Amino acid sequence: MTTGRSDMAHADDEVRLQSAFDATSAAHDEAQVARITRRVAHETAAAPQQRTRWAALGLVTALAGVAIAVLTFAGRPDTRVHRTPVSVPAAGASASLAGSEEDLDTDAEWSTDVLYAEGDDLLDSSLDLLHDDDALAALDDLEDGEG
Amino acid sequence: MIRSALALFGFARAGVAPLEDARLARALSGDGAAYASLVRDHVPVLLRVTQRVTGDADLAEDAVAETLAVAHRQLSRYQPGTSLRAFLLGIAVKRAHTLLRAERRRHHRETAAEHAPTPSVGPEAALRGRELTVRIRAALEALPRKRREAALLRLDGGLEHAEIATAMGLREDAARALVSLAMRDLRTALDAEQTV
Repeated sequence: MTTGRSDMAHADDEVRLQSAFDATSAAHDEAQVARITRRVAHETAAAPQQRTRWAALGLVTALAGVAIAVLTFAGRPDTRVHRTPVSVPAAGASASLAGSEEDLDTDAEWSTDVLYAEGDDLLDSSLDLLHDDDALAALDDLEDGEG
Repeated sequence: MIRSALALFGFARAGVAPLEDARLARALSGDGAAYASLVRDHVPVLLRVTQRVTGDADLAEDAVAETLAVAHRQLSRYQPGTSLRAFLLGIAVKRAHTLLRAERRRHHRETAAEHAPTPSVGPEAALRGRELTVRIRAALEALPRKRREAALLRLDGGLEHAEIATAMGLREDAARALVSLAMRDLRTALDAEQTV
């Protein structure tokens, strides 16, 4: 009962307040509405163009990044070490000895190539050192110190 | 028979929703004219609310324009089929308060009485209307923020409780309670001044 009276009082409040708000609301101004509508149409039409510009800039940046990555990795020397597992016949496995010898020969050739190549590199480095005055001076200092 | 009824229902819906959906899709793709046509019908009620908050026609116009710009940026959040008016009014109330605070900080705002909207009635009634406008604004400003927003959305925005809930991000029963409290407080404040 109390709640019912309270609801009615609230409804009555709202009706009277609504009248007061309606009586004091801004007069409808069609020119103002038209002005706002034009302004909004203009401002919101510019927005997608801006989005397109940002999208284009993003695309160019992404393409440039991909190009730099490709050039970087394409010019990089292959420093990976290719190791072929050497097959060593197990003790007593004489039945497959012939095939294993072939494998060993192949592996040995490959290993020899690697050794020669690394030996050449080592030799080149040593020769470089012999022509490097600073290195020779350092060597002399070392020998003097030991002496 | 049932199929016909369903088809009719579908047709009836197709007469309204797809048009708005189409305008919404075009607005989202950057068609400013489509967006303007989508929101144009809501501009008067937006002006009514923002002018109530700001008490200034120019400031209200700026608030509406900013509201529509903000709403355009947030348009992807709008759920088609829900109240677009509630979506816009929820933003408008906040924008109007923000602009009013900024204006007050700059100390350029003139008194509400000088800028109150002038009803198209006789001089005495206009004077009473201006006084009432000022008092209503004072009573609104005395309310806690959420109650004030609920009152504006209800009495100037003309929203239902469910729409107020959507606009304010509340549950419907919470919106109903806020409106009820706002009505009581407003009534008390205005009765104290014996204006309503």
